[in-house]
This record gives sequence, structure tokens and C-alpha cells, in this order.
Amino acid sequence: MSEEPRRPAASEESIGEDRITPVLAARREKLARLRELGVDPWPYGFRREQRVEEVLGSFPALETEGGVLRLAGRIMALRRMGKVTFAVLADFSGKIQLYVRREEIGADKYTVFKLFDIGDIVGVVGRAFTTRMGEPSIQVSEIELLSKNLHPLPVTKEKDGQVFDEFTDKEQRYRQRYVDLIVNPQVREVFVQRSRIVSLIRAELEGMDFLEVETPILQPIYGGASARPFVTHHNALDMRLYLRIANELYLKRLIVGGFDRVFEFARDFRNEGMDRFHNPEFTQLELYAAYEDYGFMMDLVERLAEKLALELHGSTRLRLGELEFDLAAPWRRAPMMELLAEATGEDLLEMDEEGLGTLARGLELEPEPGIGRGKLLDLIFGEMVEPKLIQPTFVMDHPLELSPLAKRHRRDGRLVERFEAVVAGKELCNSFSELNDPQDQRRRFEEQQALIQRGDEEGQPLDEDFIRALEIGMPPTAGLGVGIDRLVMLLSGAESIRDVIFFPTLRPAAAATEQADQKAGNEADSD
Amino acid sequence: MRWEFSKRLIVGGFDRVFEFARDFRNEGMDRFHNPEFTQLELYAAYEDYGFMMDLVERLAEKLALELHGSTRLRLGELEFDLAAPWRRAPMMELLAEATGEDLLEMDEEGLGTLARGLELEPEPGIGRGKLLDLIFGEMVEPKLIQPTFVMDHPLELSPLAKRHRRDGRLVERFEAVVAGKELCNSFSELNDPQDQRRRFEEQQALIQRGDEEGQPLDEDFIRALEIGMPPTAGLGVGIDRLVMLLSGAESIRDVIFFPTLRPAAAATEQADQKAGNEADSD
Repeated sequence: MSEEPRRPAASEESIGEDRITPVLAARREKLARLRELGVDPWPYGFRREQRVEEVLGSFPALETEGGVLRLAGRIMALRRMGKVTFAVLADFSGKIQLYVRREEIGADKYTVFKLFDIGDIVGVVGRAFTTRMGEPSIQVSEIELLSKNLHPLPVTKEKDGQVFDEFTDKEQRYRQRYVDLIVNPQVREVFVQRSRIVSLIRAELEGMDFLEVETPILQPIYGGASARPFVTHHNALDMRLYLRIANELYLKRLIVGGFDRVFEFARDFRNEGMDRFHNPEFTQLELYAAYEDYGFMMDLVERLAEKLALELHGSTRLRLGELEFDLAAPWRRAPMMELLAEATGEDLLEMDEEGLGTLARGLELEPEPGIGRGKLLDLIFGEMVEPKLIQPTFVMDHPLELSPLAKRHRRDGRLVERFEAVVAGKELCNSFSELNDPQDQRRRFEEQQALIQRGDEEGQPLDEDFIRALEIGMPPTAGLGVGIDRLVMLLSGAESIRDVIFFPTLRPAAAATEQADQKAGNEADSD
Repeated sequence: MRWEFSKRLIVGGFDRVFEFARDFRNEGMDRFHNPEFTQLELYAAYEDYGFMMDLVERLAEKLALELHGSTRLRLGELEFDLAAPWRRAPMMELLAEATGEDLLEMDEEGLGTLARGLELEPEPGIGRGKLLDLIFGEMVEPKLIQPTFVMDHPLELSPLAKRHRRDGRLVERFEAVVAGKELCNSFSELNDPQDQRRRFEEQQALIQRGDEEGQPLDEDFIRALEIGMPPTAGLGVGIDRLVMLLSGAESIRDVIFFPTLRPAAAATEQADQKAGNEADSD
């Protein structure tokens, strides 16, 4: 494998190394040298005509045709052997070997090329060519610097198809996502899948006559969910505004206004703790369909999830860590209270607050006093049932107290017509037959006020204007909210929300960046 | 700041990206401004601002034909034609036509005097770039009814744009102006980390002088450029404004379902009183 490009040893070039300053200085020296030679290290463009993937896919025909190829990308490896150099060029689609000979590009250009480093972005003109070792390559006739790398990339090692990078601190990967994306191609793949998932959902909904809309993020009264909001202030109006925790009440106003089917990919914000499943900002798909009920939404969810799995993976059988599940429709439909009865052996719907509190404490849960029956049931469900629902399950018909915006169940007034889909032990989406009785809506809001009075910080404030909208009249309507980040996790196998958000929220960057610089012994930046 | 996040993705190897972004500006409201608005931003590696001019005129023409079957539209009294190609005119030439002078060579004092002569009231010390922008906004922009790419802005105005390949006092930038209003903004993106640091430092100087719109220095963004960003073209399109143009709406409030309004409680009470409708609060 004499032609296999050599990667630099970790001791030479790595963000994680102490002796990085001399490397940085060397790059800057090369930069100065390039300028002396009249080379612009940051030119204005390059006429790229092929991607690596299509070139690799057209061997050996391309070689026979002998046409001129124009590629651009980043140098990921370099192996110099005097008058000949092997390199690896990576673009978004793949990697290909470059074969650069002094004789072919000329002595002067070769002198310039010697100043190129791993990490530089270059434009290449050449022909398809297979080496004696059988490696499809580009025999280079021209190579042009397009962007000079001044910060060496961390070293990665590939073994048995697995890539190991040198990011010692995992958070550093999120903080310098641009480096993560360069050295870890599998990270890039998750985000390509994310983009496809959103495109496919959009196409599917538009095919069902849903109209994509935008509603406010800055809201004078927050609502539509139980959560703590971010607060901001509008200077010119001298007015307090909240970043939305949900867009539900606005989309319902559009249903009142006569839009029969609407959806929004909404960025929502919740001022709460962060963990593997929670980022302060996240993406929620909300959709509403007039003249439908929650059964319509169950059909839609299972059909859509099945379709996405087939489009992305050609199969509905997926895994997430240790968990295997099958998204094929139809999904199990199970009333929440039945699942609770199975797990506890008791009819919890008839149990009072004290009984539920005792039960919760028996499970070593620590419910805050006075949180009410609804939240106690939710706590117990989250502990005893939800984590065990690995196969897709529609958990249906929640107790009334938990769902101030959902319509009373048509056969049991203690319940609402609601479902949550649970997959791999986690909630994926939430849906109601929407409450459209303005008088019942007022009572429900008033019950929320009572909870707020008792100290529930997630109680939903009363929105008079929303009640007014219901008084104008909303048709029977089904609503659905899907956590897009969680859906992407399920479909891509990512185990943390930070792996499906390009730039997750992190502790203050200034402090962290300084730390990173100190770690790297890298003070050259601030010159 | 959002621009810089998208550019980090170009550094990471994503060649072409776009986002329909909700952006927020804590500023006054009028017919063209809502505190939150929708901006389409897109970036293409290995391209320059010429690519984006072609894209904008082709896309606008196509949208007009799809929606109305014609590129000849009107907005209030104004009639304009979105058919490609659009006029391409350097900003400094348009200013020279309007004022009879080469403003690029005029110093801050001269520009200040000129601005005050137009009954503009520039805040003292706002710098040459903003003065040129003010004068342009008064004397040229409102008269550009037909679609025009205003090109090659002065360096001071554009800390994230690449220096012009033929004139270091300018940057490779354009704004498309239609019906007398800016529709979009595009650069050949600055990818030289050393120049980027200098430009940020010039912005710090403006902030020191009291410019509240100066752009803060972002060390991590400079680090990303040091990792290496290819030559890249960027474009931002005001979607609300585009919808206004294409639908004939004369206020941004007519293209946003729920525009930001003064406190709802006060307004709702007033409306109720007007409608003699006290029944709501029973």
C-alpha cells in the first residue's frame, strides 16, 4: 500500500496537543510565503464541474474518455515523495485520491503546491486515472489554492469502517461543529437525513391540502402547552413579550378564520433544564385539520412514520441504541388508564389526590405537594409505563386535568380525546380532538389558574382573545404536535438531541472557548 | 449573527444550504418593519455574488409568472416589471449620477455637509459608510422603481463581505431594489480570517463611537474561517417584503397573520368599547 496517503501523527498536528503553537506559526509562515509568490490565499471562486461521487461512479468509463474534470474540496491527507505527491480530496459527496506530478503541473506551480497543507481547500483540474494499486484517482494538471487552512484539523483514524476522532472533550464537538462535520462524515449524514425528513413531511402534508403558515414567536401571552417561557422586552412598545412555548392557539385562530388545514414547522422555546432529550429551542411540527378528530391524526402519524422509515432506510425495523422497534402501521392503540391499571393493578381514575400521592412516593418519586391529580397520574405513567413502551403505541384518552385544550371524551367526561405516540420509551407526538366549546374552555383555563395559585409554574395562563375566537366559532378540529428533533433521533439512530441539532445550546461560549484555547496552548489566535 | 452560523456549515463541508429564518430586531415598527420577520438565507460554496444575481432575477421572474402569469406587476401607484435580466448598477455610479460628485473620495465631513444639505440629520460620528447609505437612501433608492441590482458598496458598510477584486475600497455586494425598496442583500462572503478580524475591529471602533448597530467580534467565527471556508456567495431575501411585492400588499401587516401590536389587553378593551361589546367579559 505504498500509495496510501499518510496521515499526520497526532504529535505533529492536532487541536488537542500542547505543542500546537509551532504548527500554527508554520502555517502563517507558509501563508506569507504564498503571498510573496503572488498567490491569493483566498481567491474569488472556482468553476467546479463535477462532484467526487459522480466521478467515482463513472470509473473506468471516464478514464477511457479522458475528458477534463474540475473538482473542488478539502485536502484530507498528503503524502509527498519528492517530485510526486499523493493527496486525498474530500468534497460533500466523498473522497478521491489526487496524483500530482511536478513534471505535469510545472516546477513553479509545484513550488507553490509544496506550501499547501492538510485542511486547505483547493480546486483541481485533471483526468481520471487508476493507479497501479487499482485506486481510482485524479491525475492533476492544475491545482489552485481556494482557502488556506490556518488551524490544523484534529486527526481521525479509521478502523474497520469506524471513525475515531481526537476530540477528547465531547462538548468541543458541538462547540466547533464545523470541525466535527469535516472529520466525522457520519455526523454529516444525520443532518442530511434531518433535511430529507422535513422535506418529505412537507411534501406529504401539501399533498393532503395542508397549507404551510407562519405564526408569531414573540407573544404577549404564552400558551398552548405547560412549560416555562423565555421572557423578553420590546423597547419601542415598552412591552413584555414571551418566546412561544407552542403555537397551538394561533393555529387554531387560523382554523376559526376559515383555513381548513394548516401546518407550521415551529421553533419553540422552553426555559427549562437541558438533557439528552431537551434543548431550550426545538422544532415542533404542528398541524390542524377542521372536521376531523384524533382518530384521523393516529392514522396520519402511523402512515407518515412508516413512509419516512421506508424512504430513509428501506425498512420499518429500526434500532436506537439497544432498542429495536418496528414502525410498520398499524400501531397499537391503548387507553392510558388501562395501561396504568395493568401496571399498578388499580383503577387510578377513581383514586383521589392523596392516594395517588402515596402511590407516587411508593415508587420513590418525589411529587411536589399540591400538583394535582393530573400531574400525579402523569408522573406515575412516566415511571411505570412509558419507558416500557418500546414498540410504537398510541397512548389514548388522558385524564381531563392534564389537557386544558383537549375536548372531553365523547363517552367519558372524566377523560379527553387525546393521544400521545410513544416509541422506544419516549413520547414522539401529542394530539387532541380540539376543545372548541368556549364555555368549557373558560372553565378549563380557570382550573389552570387555580393550579398556578397553588404554585404550579407550568399552569397555562387565561387567554381572553382565544376564548373570543372560539366564540366566533371553531369547527370540530383535530390537532397534532410532533417533536421533529425526537423524530429525527428515532429515524437516524441518534441517542442525544445534541446530535440532531447543528448548534445545540451550550454554557457560555466565551468561557468555554478560552478554556479550549488554554487547553490547546493556543494563544496565537489573538495576535 | 445568523449569517455566521450558516457560514460555519459551509466551513463544515455543506456546499449549499438555506434556511427560512425567523429573525428578531428590537427596533421601531412601520409599514415595512415588524419586530419578527422571515428571512430566507442561502449560501453556495465556490460561487460569487454574480451567481446570486442570476438566481434572484430568475427566481423572481418565475414566481411572478406562476402567481400572475405576467412579470408586470403593480404596488399601489408603482408599476414594475420583474422580467430578467435586471439592471446592474454600481452604487457609487448611481450616487455620482444623483449628486454630480464622486462620493467615494469625499471625506466624512464633506459627506456630513451633503447629508445635512438634504435635510437629513445624521448623528455625529456615524462614519463614512453610514453617511453614504443615508444619502443613497434619500436620493437614489426611492427612485429605483424597476428592479435594479445596486452593486459594490463601500467597504465600511459591509464587515462580512469580501473586498472587491478590482477596487479595495469597495466590497462585492449587491442589494436588489424594486419599487423603491430593498428586497435582498448578497455578498461574495469574506473568508480571509485576518481581514475578517480587522473588519470586526473596525466595527468595535464604531461601537466605541456610539454606533448601536455595530457588529460584535466573534472569535469562534474567526476560528471557523481559520479552519478554512471556500469562496462562497451568500444571499438574504426578505420574505415578507417579497410577498408584499408579489401580492400587491402595501403594509407588512397585511402579509403577516398576527403582526406584533401594542399590548393586547389595552387594545382589546378599546375594541370592545368601540363595538359596544361588553358581553365578552361576563
